[in-house]
Amino acid sequence: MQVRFSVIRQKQTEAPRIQTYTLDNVDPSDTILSCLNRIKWELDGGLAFRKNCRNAICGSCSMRINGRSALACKENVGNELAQKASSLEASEQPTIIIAPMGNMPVIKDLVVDMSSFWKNLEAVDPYVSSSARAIPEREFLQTPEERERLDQTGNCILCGACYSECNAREVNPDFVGPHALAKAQRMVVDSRDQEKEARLEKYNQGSQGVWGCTRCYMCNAVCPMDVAPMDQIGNIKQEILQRKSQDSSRSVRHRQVMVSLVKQGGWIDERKFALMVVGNYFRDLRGLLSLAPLGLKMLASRKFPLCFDPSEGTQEVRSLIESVQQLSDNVPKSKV
Amino acid sequence: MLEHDVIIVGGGLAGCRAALEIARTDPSLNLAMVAKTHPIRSHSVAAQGGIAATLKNVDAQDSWEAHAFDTVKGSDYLADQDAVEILTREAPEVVIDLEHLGVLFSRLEDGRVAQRAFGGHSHKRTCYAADKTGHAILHELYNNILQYGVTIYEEWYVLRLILEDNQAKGVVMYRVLDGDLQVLRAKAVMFATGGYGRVFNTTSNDFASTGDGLSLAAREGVPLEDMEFVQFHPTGLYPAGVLISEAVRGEGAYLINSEGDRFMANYAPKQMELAPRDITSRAITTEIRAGRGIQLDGQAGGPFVHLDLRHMGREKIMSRVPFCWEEAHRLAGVDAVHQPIPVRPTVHYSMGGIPVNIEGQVRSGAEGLIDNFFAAGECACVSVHGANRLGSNSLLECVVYGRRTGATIARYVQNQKLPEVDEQQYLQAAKERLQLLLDQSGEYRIAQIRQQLQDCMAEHCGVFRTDQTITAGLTQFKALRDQYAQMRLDDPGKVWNTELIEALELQSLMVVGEVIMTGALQRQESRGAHSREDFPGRDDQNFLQHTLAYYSPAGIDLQYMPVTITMFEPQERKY
Repeated sequence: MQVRFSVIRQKQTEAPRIQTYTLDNVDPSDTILSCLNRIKWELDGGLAFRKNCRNAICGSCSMRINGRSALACKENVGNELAQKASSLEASEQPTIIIAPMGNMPVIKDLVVDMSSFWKNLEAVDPYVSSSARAIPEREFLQTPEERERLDQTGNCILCGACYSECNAREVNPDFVGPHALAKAQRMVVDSRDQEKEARLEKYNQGSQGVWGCTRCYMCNAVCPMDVAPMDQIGNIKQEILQRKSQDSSRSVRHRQVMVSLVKQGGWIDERKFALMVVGNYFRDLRGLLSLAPLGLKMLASRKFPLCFDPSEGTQEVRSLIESVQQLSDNVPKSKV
Repeated sequence: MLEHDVIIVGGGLAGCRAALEIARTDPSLNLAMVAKTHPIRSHSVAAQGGIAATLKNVDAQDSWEAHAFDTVKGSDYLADQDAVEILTREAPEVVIDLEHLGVLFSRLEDGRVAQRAFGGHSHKRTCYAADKTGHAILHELYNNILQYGVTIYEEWYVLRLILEDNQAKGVVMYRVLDGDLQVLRAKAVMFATGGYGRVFNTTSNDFASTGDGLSLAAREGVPLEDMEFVQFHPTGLYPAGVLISEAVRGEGAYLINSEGDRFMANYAPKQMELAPRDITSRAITTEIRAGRGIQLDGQAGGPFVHLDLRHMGREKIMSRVPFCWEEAHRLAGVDAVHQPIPVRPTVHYSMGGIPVNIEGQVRSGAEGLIDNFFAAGECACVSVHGANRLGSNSLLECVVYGRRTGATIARYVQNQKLPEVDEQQYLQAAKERLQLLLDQSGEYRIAQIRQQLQDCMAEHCGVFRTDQTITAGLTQFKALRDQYAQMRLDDPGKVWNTELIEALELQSLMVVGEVIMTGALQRQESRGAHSREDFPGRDDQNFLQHTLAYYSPAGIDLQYMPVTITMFEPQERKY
């Protein structure tokens, strides 16, 4: 069949433009990468994109395909067109839109500058540290169960798809990104690593670590290897929450107050929530003051909640939370 | 001019392991790595099956001697046995070291590293990380070398090896980002540039495997050893050519012809599907030639045979070889739990390469060495694989000889000065060479010439070869060289001009292809992966020796070098 590829092309100093290429004899099973290769080899040698293994393991060819970051060697024409079929007019020629990844500056066409991606990976100390214990002559023992916990994060190929779609990264240049924190989680769980406590301390800092994540779910949605970075970030948060008291930081307090309020009333009493989290139970005067403008505005527009009615389902919500907490207590934790 | 104590070209397993060894041995050394892709993207990352070492975790009867014998027998007695001894003796130590670095090996119930069967190995000694072993090792190694402050020139393409008066002095390199040209001089230059699968039309190798390092060395007069030995992996996924790992057969999959027979019974009755790769590839090709292939009707892509996993069951497939299932599903639309996978031989590995001694120093010939020049991994030929490599010995070679070469370099540079290099002369020559390519006009696109070259190699120098086919191939090569001068590029720019890189890589493919064919023409015997239909027998009398090919644009000269035999006398090779 005939397929059109609309490619967002760009040079560093110029505004992006759309160039459309038409390929004949495209098979629905052809990968996007093989089509791009045909464009480069048959139509336009100047088109720039990265590629290498063509087998979804080297991570070179991530780009935005029909609006979401993916590996060009993993996605095929048939699926891309099927996903668009509903919005397609019968007379319209099938078109696939190709654009560079986001959150990284474009160098040329589909090639982006990934230096911040690599630097942020380095920032989490992405290597197992066994320096604190004597290195045995034989391998460290690791049961299949302990090893299995590393399967998901171990699958990461560092392609950058999650980083490209990360909403937190878009607004917060300090945030190290989902790829780095998925790797961080691997190190936290690896039974051979000796720096677990120091790592948790590090990943707990400010908004560069786990608390920078806005839980938008995009990384999970686009990851081509099912690493589920957001879940891994959640796992690190759980480890931190187990170790930290409410007054250690606003991020920790936010999480713990929320759970306790929901347990009490079935949903959140927002007045208390603000005072406890931001005001730290009247201990943080500057935090309290920062709430004043919002409170006054709400009062003025009659949106300030003057009383709190617990949810009718409070009992049910409470028992749900308790059983989840009980369940996660029973899951064996990795050895410290 | 850029300067470092040591420069490693190539960021795959051998390069990263050497870098780690150098940094560990002498952290004060100023070490740089140059790679045309980011190191994480290197082809090592695609290695699936595993890494062999006699850890004896599964088979207490195993020994390094047994591993050495299997390797030498697999090599059809062309391997140098002193090098094989080092490979197999040091294997357990380097694998344990990788484990300590954090590599995610699969485990046994008691927590030790798991091991499985592999083609040509008499014991279960292949350590693995599901079927992504290369990925598991490379990611860990790369992240580890970051700790040591190694300077990484990623996405720089090396245009030239600077070699004067039998001494390597540095490289001329080109930054893909913006076309910047630089001369980099160093006290030691190491090549870890990988293989050349792209010389052929069907290969498991990535796009970057274009034999650049081999060609760079050959063009400076360095000989290439045993290049006629090209490994065809029996189970390339049809039609893409990517690999279905040998681990799949290690876990019990069958090879089936169109009549539903497990045909390996006729070729290697004892080892069946786990016979070495050369034998299995020939068996598949023979079955297809005899009319027992599938899709014989001349459809595009040609015939294949089936790899059948169905009897293994979903659970085993998904836990032991999940990547295989995913590949077949993604690229061939096959659900391996319910359907057999279409496969055929695919070019996989280079047994030959830049000749090195057991310390990783590059040879200038049968006797001498080249000063300050080192190599390891697939681009090198130490020769542990001889005429045919066993599965899970290549990752092993990368880490054993990567480490060993790194250690040699760390010692070697201690008393060295930085060499004198006439920077301007090299920059000027490089500039002119690139400008010539950008300026030339003509009727051909790069891909047209490259495709012809790849088809030519596959047709004339494939699984089976004869004097006639190779000679015809060499004639066609001459025509292709003429066409190269009539090739045009679309992109005149300096920013991320990968078209220019592809044009340069095509030059590498041409040099390497010609060396392969010339060696194959002169080796009038069949040994390991080199199978001459006009000389079907092994001829130890005349050819139990290594080929050394000296390339020059005017032609290729061949010399021969004796094989080192220390433990096992050559005997007939049967499985």
